[in-house]
Amino acid sequence: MAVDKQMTGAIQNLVLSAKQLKSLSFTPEVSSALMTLASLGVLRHNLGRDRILFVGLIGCTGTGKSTLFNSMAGQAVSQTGWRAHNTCGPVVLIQDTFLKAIEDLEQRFGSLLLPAFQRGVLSPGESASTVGAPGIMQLIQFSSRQRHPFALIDLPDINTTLARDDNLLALEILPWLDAVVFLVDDETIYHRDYERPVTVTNELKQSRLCVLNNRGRDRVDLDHHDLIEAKSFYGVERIHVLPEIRGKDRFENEPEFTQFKQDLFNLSAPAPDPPLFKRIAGLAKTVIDENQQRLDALNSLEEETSVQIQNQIAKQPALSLEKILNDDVLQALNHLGLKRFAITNVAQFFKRVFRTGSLKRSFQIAFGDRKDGGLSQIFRMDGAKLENEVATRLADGRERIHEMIRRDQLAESIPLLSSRLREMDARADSESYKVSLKKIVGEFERECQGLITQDSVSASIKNDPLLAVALLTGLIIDFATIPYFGSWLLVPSAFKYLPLGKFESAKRRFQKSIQDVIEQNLFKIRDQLREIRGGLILEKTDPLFKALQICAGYSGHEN
Amino acid sequence: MKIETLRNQLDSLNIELERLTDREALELASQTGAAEEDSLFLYGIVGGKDVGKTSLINQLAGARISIDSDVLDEGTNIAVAYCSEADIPALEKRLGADARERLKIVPHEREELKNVVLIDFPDFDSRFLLHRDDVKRFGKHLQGMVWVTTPRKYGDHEFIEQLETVAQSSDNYYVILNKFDQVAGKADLPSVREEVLAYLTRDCKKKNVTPPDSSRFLMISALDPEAYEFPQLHSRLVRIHSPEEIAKAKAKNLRAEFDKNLARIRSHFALSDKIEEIDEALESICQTVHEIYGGDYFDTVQKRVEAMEELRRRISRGLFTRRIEGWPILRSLFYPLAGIVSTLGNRFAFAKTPDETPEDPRDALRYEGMTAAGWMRNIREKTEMEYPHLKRDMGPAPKFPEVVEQKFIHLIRDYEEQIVNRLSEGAPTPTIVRRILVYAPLIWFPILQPLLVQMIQYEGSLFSIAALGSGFAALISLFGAGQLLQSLVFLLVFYATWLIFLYSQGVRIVIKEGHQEFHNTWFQQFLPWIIEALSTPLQKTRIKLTEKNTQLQEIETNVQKELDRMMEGRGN
Repeated sequence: MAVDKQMTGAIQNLVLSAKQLKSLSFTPEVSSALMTLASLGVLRHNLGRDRILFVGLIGCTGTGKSTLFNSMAGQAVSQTGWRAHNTCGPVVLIQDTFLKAIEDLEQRFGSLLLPAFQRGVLSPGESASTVGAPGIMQLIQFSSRQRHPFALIDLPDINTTLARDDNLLALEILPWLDAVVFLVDDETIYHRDYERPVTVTNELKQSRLCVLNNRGRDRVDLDHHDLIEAKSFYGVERIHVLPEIRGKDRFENEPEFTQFKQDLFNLSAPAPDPPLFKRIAGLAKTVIDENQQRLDALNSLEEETSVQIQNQIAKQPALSLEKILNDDVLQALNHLGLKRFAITNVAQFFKRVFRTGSLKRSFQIAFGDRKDGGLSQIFRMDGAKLENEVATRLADGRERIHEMIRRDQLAESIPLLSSRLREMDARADSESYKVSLKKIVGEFERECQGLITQDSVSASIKNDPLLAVALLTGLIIDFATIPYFGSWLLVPSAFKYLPLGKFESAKRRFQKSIQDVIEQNLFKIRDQLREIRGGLILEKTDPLFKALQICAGYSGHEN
Repeated sequence: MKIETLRNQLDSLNIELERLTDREALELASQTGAAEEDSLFLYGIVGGKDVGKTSLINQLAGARISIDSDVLDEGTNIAVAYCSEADIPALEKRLGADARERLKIVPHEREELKNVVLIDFPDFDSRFLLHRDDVKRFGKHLQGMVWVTTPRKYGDHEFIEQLETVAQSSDNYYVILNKFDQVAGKADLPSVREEVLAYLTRDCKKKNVTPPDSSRFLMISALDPEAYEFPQLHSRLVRIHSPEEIAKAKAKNLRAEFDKNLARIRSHFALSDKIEEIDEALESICQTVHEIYGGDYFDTVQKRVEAMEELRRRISRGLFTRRIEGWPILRSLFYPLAGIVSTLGNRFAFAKTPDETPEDPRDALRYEGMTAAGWMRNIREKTEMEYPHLKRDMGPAPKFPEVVEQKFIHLIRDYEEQIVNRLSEGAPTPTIVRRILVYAPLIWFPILQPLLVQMIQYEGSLFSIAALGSGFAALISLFGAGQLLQSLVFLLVFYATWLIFLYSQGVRIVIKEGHQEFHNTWFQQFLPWIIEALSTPLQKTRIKLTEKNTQLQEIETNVQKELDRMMEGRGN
């Protein structure tokens, strides 16, 4: 009993969060079937133990469903006639007090009774020609002193091509019934289209009656072995054989009809809950599986994306300063402090003299003390070039990652997910990183300018004591071993290529932070994935997920 | 036998189409080849349970040949054939193994039913599967069908399902509404006819099969042979069927079989629709490519390509070498001076030094932060989304980045070659004056000019023999190093200037014409290539489908021919 209670609670939660489930757009057939059954569960539970029974008429066209319905209603409500497929939508005969009770419930839960249908209400005595239209549930209320313990539902047939075009509405509504009245006639008693409803009825353990509308035969031998087989097929103890009514359009006081009515009134067993719960469990499990599938696909995608981003960043060569700095500035920066005595500076000096013809300035840039600040004046980073470079790298990275995402096998197999992934914008948004880029450039510029303005031998010894010691040692060794050779010029040249000193570390920091900007921007793809995830996945902590889990976990205990 | 081959062809086509499209192969209607040989005409009386098939055959036979119980039971269990004594061997031969134990033959000796066999079948809508099998198994042997239904059952889906796979022509197909007496009080004959025919026709149209012929739709009550349209039915079925009539009816069936199968294959696989859809998709790819890669994208790339200084240098130089090919002196002078000439030539042509120089073609093709490959992928995805049915036919996505980069490098190379070729073709052949102008310095600087100078310096009359003589004397004596060097320098300066002038002229042409040339290369080579890369698999599918469509048409004409031949053969 505790299991049932838990289950009904979970089902109520399901119905209450119908909107949420819908927004997650799982396979529409599954989720709508789940919601319909859940509404049924809630309806049954809330109406209590002595709720009314829903009794439905199932049968092929022309077996007299609507005639029987009208006979029970005592008035011509549902359309009858010799034509095929007269009734297209359910027509429900229901006592007004019950309807009131259901409507009260619906105040709380939203539409509960056959929620997929639009509702039309017919008051007693009224008759409409449009009764039984597709997509509309027609309610006929009556107030009677006699307590009818059931609501009778007239359903469309199960065998015409038109009914099949409507996806066999009768079978869709079948789970709602507590009792099923199978209507057959001499032409259809062995019709194979009864197999499906009978299977469902067996599974749901609904009570059932079988009515044979006899219109062809002179006599029906109920003890014939073929009919005994039919009885066991429909799962009834007796078949009510109704005679042909000539000249009237409904049964009134025929003894067989009275007997049938009596049997119908005597029905008291509501359809048991466990089979319904089992169905719900099956559907809930499908939904959870689908959710899990999405979750797995997205998780693996996220992981792969992170790995791919790291790889990308690791593979990218560091941004070369040549691309974004003016030659002079680069020359000056590379030859700060002691490095200014490198032999490469001589070549640079001559090159510059030939190009510009300015001796003094060339000397200053090549060997000079940079304290005068002239250099920091010309120090200018080409922002546009840098932005371009970063944009290129970003676009490359994004494209690769998107390519990977799109080719992901797991996600490809989930149509909704793959379409969402395709909608993701592969283009880099150019604005957001520009601000941080500017900041980084500003910092780097300030740092470099500081280095330039402080440039002196003493300052650089202070800045890079290690370099100074190494240089000094090199010079001493050089002087002591090969006197007058003058290779002292080569020593600072060698140090030029050693990544030491303040400028080198500033440069590295700069390169690193540029890479960080790229990385951050690439990780936005992961954020995009997370956004998608929010709209597609039910997280484990969500109450709806918990309700689904309880539903899916239902194993049923037969009693 | 020819018909049999055509049947096989159609069958294999059906299966091939399953592979080619994403739809399952159809279950085709078919008749046995045996039917073409003998002269029997088999009518099958089919219908659902209790619609009165047995009553009908009994009524037609005029005897109780099939058991027709008055108790409600499962009904006729095995098929019953009502057949003339003489036709029994032929019937047995025809049915062969299919008939075994599932057919009871009731012989008769009625002259008017010679060659005609009436077969009563068990109902096909019952839960008992064996009954359905019978109809399926016998169906292909039948030439005519009498489909019996009732006012309560005409809406059943069984009819249309059967009609879909049945091969009989609608001319040999009777639809009988039995038990008319049940609606007699509620509706009259015309209104029932209208309603039922409308219902069946609507179903048939949905499934794309020929609807039943209204003249072969009869309403009867099998219990009352005098009432309604029973007499008509009786007179149509129970009469002498002449061999010609039977042959004609069989031919009609063959035609109907092929017509139906062809029509169903066409509509099921929707060949022409698919071809049309592919055409549309191809068109849309073409348009999108032009929309995206034309216009702004093109301008951006063009600017970048024009900014590729290395490329322009190569082109100008290529052009220049072509242009001086006919000038051996200039050519031999150009090689040592190439560096100076091209640098100065460029400068004189005011060729701007570009501010961005993309080295990678991938970069040159980037637009709005996406590579050309990215745009290509976008187009493909757009097409996939617009034409979801064609997704399978578009094949796996090619590796766009590799493909597009390679192509672009080729493209640039081609562009370079073409522009050089085209521009050098248009160059004028040097005239005499030009030749003199170019070669004259060779005489002027080393000989004429020094001679003139000497003559001017001669004191006395400028135009005297003496002056000339002194000039020559000086010339000969001074043909030493100094004078020669001097004249060589002059020569060099002259030719270098000339070369630089020519070169800069060439550069100007390249800049002017290159614009147009790149436009052509882009729109006439690159875009078609991109379109091709995007649409090749579709094109292939299209070709295959068209092929199948032609095959279908061929089969159709062959069937037509074959049937005409058969009819003619009969006529003679």
